Amino acid sequence: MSDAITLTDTAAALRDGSTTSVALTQRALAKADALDDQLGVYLARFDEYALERAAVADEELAAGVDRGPMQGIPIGVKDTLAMAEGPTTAQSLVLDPAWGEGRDAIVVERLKAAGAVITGKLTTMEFACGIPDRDKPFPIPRNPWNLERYAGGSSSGSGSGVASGLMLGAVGTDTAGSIRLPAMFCGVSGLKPTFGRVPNAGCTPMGYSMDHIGPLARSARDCGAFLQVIAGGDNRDPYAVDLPVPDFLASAHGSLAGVRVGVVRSLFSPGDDPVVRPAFEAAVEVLKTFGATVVDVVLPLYEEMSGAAFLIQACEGMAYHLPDLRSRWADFFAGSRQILGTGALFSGADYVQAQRVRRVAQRKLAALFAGVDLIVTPGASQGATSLARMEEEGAASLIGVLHTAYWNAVGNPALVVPMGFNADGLPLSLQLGARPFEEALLVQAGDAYQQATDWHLRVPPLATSSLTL
Amino acid sequence: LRAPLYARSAGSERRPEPDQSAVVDAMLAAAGLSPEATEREDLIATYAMFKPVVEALYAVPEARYEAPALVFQAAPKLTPWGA
Repeated sequence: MSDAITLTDTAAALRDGSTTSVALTQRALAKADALDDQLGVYLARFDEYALERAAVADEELAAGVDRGPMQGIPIGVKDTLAMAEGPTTAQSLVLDPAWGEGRDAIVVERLKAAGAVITGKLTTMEFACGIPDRDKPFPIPRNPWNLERYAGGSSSGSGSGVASGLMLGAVGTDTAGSIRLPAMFCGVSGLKPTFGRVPNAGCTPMGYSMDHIGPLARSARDCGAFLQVIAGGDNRDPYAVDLPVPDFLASAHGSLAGVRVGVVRSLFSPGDDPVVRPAFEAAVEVLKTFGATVVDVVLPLYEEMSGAAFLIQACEGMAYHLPDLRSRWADFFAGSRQILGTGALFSGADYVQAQRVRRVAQRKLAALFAGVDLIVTPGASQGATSLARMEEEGAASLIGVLHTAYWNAVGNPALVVPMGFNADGLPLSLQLGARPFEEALLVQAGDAYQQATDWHLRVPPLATSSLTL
Repeated sequence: LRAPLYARSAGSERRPEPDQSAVVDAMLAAAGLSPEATEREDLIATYAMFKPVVEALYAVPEARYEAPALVFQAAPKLTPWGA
């Protein structure tokens, strides 16, 4: 029996009077008191501020002031985004404490204006890069389904916090999979929007041309409601696209009639967890029951884009960090040093060539999308990696495991939703990709899938205490 | 996590050509970076692993006359964040 409740269901409960934002926030904070020493979700908490904002939300709702579904909802923000209530560290010893001091990232501004209750700043991999490092004075984010497993990164606290009920949604960032990986490993939903759909200004960069800010929450519908608030252009961000923001929930009506789904089966390999393929095939069958038609497809230039994604983020990240890498090498996490240092190994021409091939891949993918409306792949070929293995092998423990970076390189939106568990009780996920700026179709398909399944409502045993949110 | 392709163990199974070590040393020196010895070895292994990946990008025929996926705006309508 699940004790999970979704963000959108909670928004309805706030409006029918069956709960209050103050009560929700108090329970969320109490749950964090009980669990966060084990999980490593928070880098900073703003309890007093959150309770104040919750009280305001309750007062406004009682007075008929409705700011939409994020109003009164306890959420967290990855600590790569600036927020005036506290310092931004990017989970690093290196970031200048003056960076972003007293200011809000554009996304944080929008969430505050929508009445969301931000309870604190969440753990990440250093600068949204690398892997956990026990030698640095920051929490090790752990997976709520098994504390010896990795929560996924880099939006680690966002994934484990939502999965454990410490919050109903969280802001993540995604340069090669950093929203989707923790969502997948922790068993919640995660939406990487189209590049430019959400302004990045006020967030520390990792790869300028591949960084995306987006939501993690229990359901695809939740992600749509969350994205509704943070999407839209802003002239303070050079990459933000000033397009109309549609109603992301308008088409989530439980039908996929007429939707053509391209199914990618070429990513399976003999080393995959044997449960992944049958879980994926079962998920495809569910989409068909809602009226979708399916056809096999192959993602064009998949290997090239996976390589280009790494090259581009290494070069762009190194450009940002080079002065600090020169003067404060040892202050960076070991995993960050290795990834960022790789940026020195590529030439300027290599970087430009990667950007040229990226354009080719965009064109080829657009041609593929002329024949299908959605593309589905497994999100990863296994469940969460063990922390011990990650410490032993570094990021090599995830080689060939993740199928996320392609969508950063091409810029299209991608959603992950839970699709089952493996024999170790670890979550597995389905990934759906769409044409640029067609996030609404992702929400529609994810919502339909989640009407027929309850994987997204499963709660880790560790979190199924009386302190339910 | 940003770098599923980075491989310490997988890279260490490769035996880079001696000239690759020299290339990596020169690139690191040019960038002004001073990794520890084990980190240097890892970066050499990474370079060996990525060399064919980079060459594969130059081998995509459709890219021959393609423009990069970056757009420079001569007249950006931008107010810096925090200004």
